[in-house]
Amino acid sequence: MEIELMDPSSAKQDVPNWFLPLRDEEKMRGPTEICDLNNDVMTEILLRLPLRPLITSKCVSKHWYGLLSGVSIKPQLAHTTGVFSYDDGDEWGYLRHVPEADDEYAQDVHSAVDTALSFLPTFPDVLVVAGSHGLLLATAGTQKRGGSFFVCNPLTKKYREVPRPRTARGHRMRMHSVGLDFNPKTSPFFKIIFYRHSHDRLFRKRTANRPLELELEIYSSEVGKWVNSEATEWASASCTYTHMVSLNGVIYRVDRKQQQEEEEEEEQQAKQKIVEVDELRVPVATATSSYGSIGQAAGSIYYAYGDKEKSTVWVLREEKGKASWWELKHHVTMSKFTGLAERDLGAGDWKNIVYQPMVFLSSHELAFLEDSGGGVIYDCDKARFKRMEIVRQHGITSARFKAFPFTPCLYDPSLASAVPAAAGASTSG
Amino acid sequence: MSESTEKKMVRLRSSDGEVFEVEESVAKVAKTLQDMLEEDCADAVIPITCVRAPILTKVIDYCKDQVMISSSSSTTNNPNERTEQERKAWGQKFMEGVDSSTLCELLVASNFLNIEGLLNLGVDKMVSMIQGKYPQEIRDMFNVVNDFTPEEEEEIRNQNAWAFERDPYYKKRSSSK
Repeated sequence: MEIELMDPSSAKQDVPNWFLPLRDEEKMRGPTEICDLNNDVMTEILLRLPLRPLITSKCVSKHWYGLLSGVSIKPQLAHTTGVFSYDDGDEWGYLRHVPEADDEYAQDVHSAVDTALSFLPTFPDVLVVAGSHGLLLATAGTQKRGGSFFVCNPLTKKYREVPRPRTARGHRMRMHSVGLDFNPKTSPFFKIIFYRHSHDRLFRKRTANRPLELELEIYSSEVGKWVNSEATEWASASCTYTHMVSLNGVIYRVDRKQQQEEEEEEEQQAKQKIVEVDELRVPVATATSSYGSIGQAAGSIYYAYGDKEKSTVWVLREEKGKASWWELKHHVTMSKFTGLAERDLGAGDWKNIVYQPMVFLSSHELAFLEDSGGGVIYDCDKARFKRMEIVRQHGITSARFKAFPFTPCLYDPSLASAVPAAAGASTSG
Repeated sequence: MSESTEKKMVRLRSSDGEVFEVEESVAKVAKTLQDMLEEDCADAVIPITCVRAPILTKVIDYCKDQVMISSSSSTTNNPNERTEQERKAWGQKFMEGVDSSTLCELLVASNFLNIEGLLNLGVDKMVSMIQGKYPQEIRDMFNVVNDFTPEEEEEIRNQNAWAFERDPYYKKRSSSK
């Protein structure tokens, strides 16, 4: 059913001209009503509501519905509630939204979100491969190789089907080979980035002595098709590892170089906007047998690095006209870390914690770590561990799981290419 | 404010013709007025065409309070300085007993005059009024006309059935199934 929306721009929001003399009709006007508020104020009010009243307000009137449906503005709920965890035991996906706080808002989101993604056409064969803000990127698991990607919003239960790029058909999708770039605060469109590098099985031209080459295929909901970038020589042959993440149209990449003779590894990070490449040094030079990872959550890029002695997390800060810098968010020595884990999780239950967070929510200073029991949440602020509750379904017993950042939003990905760019830019007073 | 500087006064006229005389520092809390005063284009009475006298009184009360807090903040041991909690309590008290139509007027006024703090207080108050109410109760409170057909409204309700449940912690399905 189509609901005809009132164009909020046509609603009365003209600010009376300051210099005009007092008009009689203004004196005669009835009492001020809620409809006299302009859309900015109205949106501010609605988006400060907890989720439940926010959803129920949709049916107050067409004007309110329009403000909340993401047609003219992109409502962004102000809170990050946690991560989606994903258990890939038996290569079968199961999702669970993890509220990080026991507040009403988190509970509301929890009951609103379709954690199993049962609205997708391939359900129950669903494999989640990436997440960005309120959207997840899913695809059919093992049964249907070459199936489509689904960009979905588990809150609004809307999705958009995106065919796989030709070069990616017939292969199992892996995390880190595909990324989702969506930030409703900066753009009404999302991008899917498919990475292939010459050390990957997917790259046909693989040879041991060739330099690492990288090919990108990018799907933008603005254009509605995949665009292939030429294979680029990204790094020297000594580069053994590369890890990428994208945010706001910028791809951040961490390379790991190995210089055999010196037994030293060096990491560097490059960010590239398809053509231009800037180099940005990562905050720590890594020691042997460990490496840092890069990720994005709630609109920030973070770099996590753990070794035998310490675990550290940095967040990338960027300001216009200034060089980007890394802010150290969290630093803990291993001895303290294990002591805390023992205290909070019980002896022996934390042995295989991977000290690099899968997701780091800088807004809440929460690190989501993987361990043999599933996952643990480390509250960097309060120095406290908490086990992540994972509901096992469909006989899954594997402990391995992945987590994706999740910031609920009301964005409807199926509308994506229908949203005119201009409408996305809501004016702020 | 020190005694030596002569206080410059500004006159504001509400939509119903009442004229208020306030100190310039008080008027300047409103960014819109501040811009005008700095451009020196407001030496006569400034007409505030969308704000009625009772509302303007309330707005001026707010501005006076802001001046009182900030004027002495440079000195140490400021007796007027508030903690976060006190500020919250003060804001609640300031908005106490404000009905929905007054609140709308206050929001229009603070948006127009560009007083961020007051706008924030108003938005929070509005949020607390909307919360916990059924759509029909919201419509009644703010005189909003329901322009959906019953079918359209039903459709929206069905799409988000969980949100319309009475029990706030209603769980839509059991995880064992």
